[in-house]
Amino acid sequence: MGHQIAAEWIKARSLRSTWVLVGLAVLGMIAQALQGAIGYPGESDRAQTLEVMSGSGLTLLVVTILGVLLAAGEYSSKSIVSTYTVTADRRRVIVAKAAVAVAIAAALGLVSVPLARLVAVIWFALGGAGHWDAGLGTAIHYGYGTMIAYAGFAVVGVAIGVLSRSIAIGVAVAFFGLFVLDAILGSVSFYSEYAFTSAAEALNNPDVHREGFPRFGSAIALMALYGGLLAAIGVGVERRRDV
Amino acid sequence: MIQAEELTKEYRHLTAVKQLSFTAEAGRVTGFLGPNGAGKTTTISMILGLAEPDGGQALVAGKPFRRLDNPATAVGAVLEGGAFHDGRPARASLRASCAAAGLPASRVDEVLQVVGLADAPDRRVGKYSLGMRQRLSLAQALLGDPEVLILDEPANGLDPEGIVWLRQTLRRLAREEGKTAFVSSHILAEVQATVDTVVVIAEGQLVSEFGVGELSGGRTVIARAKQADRLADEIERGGGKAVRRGEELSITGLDPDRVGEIALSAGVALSALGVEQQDLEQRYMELTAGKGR
Repeated sequence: MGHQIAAEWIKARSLRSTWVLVGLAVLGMIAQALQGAIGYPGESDRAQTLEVMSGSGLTLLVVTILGVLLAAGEYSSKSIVSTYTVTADRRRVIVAKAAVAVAIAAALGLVSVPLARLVAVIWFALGGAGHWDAGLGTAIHYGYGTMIAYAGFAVVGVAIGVLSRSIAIGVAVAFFGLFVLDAILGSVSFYSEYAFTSAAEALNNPDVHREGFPRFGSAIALMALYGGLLAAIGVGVERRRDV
Repeated sequence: MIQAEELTKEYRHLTAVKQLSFTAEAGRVTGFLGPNGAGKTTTISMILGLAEPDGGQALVAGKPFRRLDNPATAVGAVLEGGAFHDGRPARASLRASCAAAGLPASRVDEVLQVVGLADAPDRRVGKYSLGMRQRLSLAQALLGDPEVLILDEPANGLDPEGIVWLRQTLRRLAREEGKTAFVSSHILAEVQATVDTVVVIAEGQLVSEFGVGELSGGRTVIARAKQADRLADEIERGGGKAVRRGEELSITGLDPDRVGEIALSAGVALSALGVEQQDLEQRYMELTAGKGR
């Protein structure tokens, strides 16, 4: 499995599109931190700080697209033929792709809070209103919550990419399914406690619990359940399909 | 060795391959021929585990492809048009395959040298010409030094020098290193110059499997006579087969000396007598006449 993960990492890092998306993901995190810093006039320092640290919705979208690209990009270019003639076990290939997507997404999650802190330092240094009000424990809590949320969306992106075998269709399905349909369903019914986007919201901003959203632990379980389920469906379908 | 045993593949309204059986032996170059839509690419896909047969099986080195422990060291494949991401440098594409197969990264530079791409390894594949992409495909196929090579239209886009190199490489790998080479191509003259055995399919079924060496024995005697009908009867009586086109007879089963003797004893005056050597192209056209999809 280590060989396959190394292969998928070489593939991912050797494409410009990967680094463009990583750049966009970082911009998303900076935008989230700035929006938290600027958009909370009159709120408590604590509320402002938590909003600055919370994970970015734009970055969630970007890591999902990254997952779609890592999987569906191989079909669009037909390089999947080379991949499957070197590695006949398709499960290994998909799991390795998911592992690489998770690693990149988790790395982005890892830098999310330090980046937010840096943005806040610059904001306050420039005379922006508010003060940083969070200890190391809270920062770690936000850090790993964000890592799990980003990683979960990246896995779902890989599964959608495998199932759709098309970058355009995969991105459209990911956007519509996760950021439109799931979000609408989550806002209008009992489904909200189980919605994938609600789980991401709970992980991105773990110290602000809102009614109708899952608790932090439940959100981790939901993220693992949905990500694992979709990945398993992707593997099951792909093993039976012709290339 | 590659063995296809009763291979069958059906799509919704089409049987692409029907009970196809053949063997590609080790130490030989086997040509795989057929008209467009004959089922060649589908067959190769089934051999490589890219498509699941609906019946029968394809074995490579005695196992179905998907059960091979490390396919890259057992089979190297060149598929039509190459299978690389345009945005990825050639070296990175090969390094990824090396990593997946557990091969040392140094193998990448070795195979790039072998196929003549050592001077452009970091160029993105999208910037490569068709010929360079074909060479890169060959490099990928050779990475694991496999016992079996499967090449779908490998000469496409190659310049004359590249075609000669490919022919010599395939013959060397088969004859000196005992590898199995299985080559699909539309360039029949090149196939005849390269392969030892030919498998011809049409409409998804085996039409013929023969050695290229047999073609030299497959010659036709051409005789011209005003009394062509009478000569044809005498030829039939003498054990030969004659096909008449006006005053010309195409005769098989007899050598020209015997045809001359029969004409003389029958009192038929010949205006011409000669031999037409049958080549792969003629044989192929006869075998597949009217069978394209």
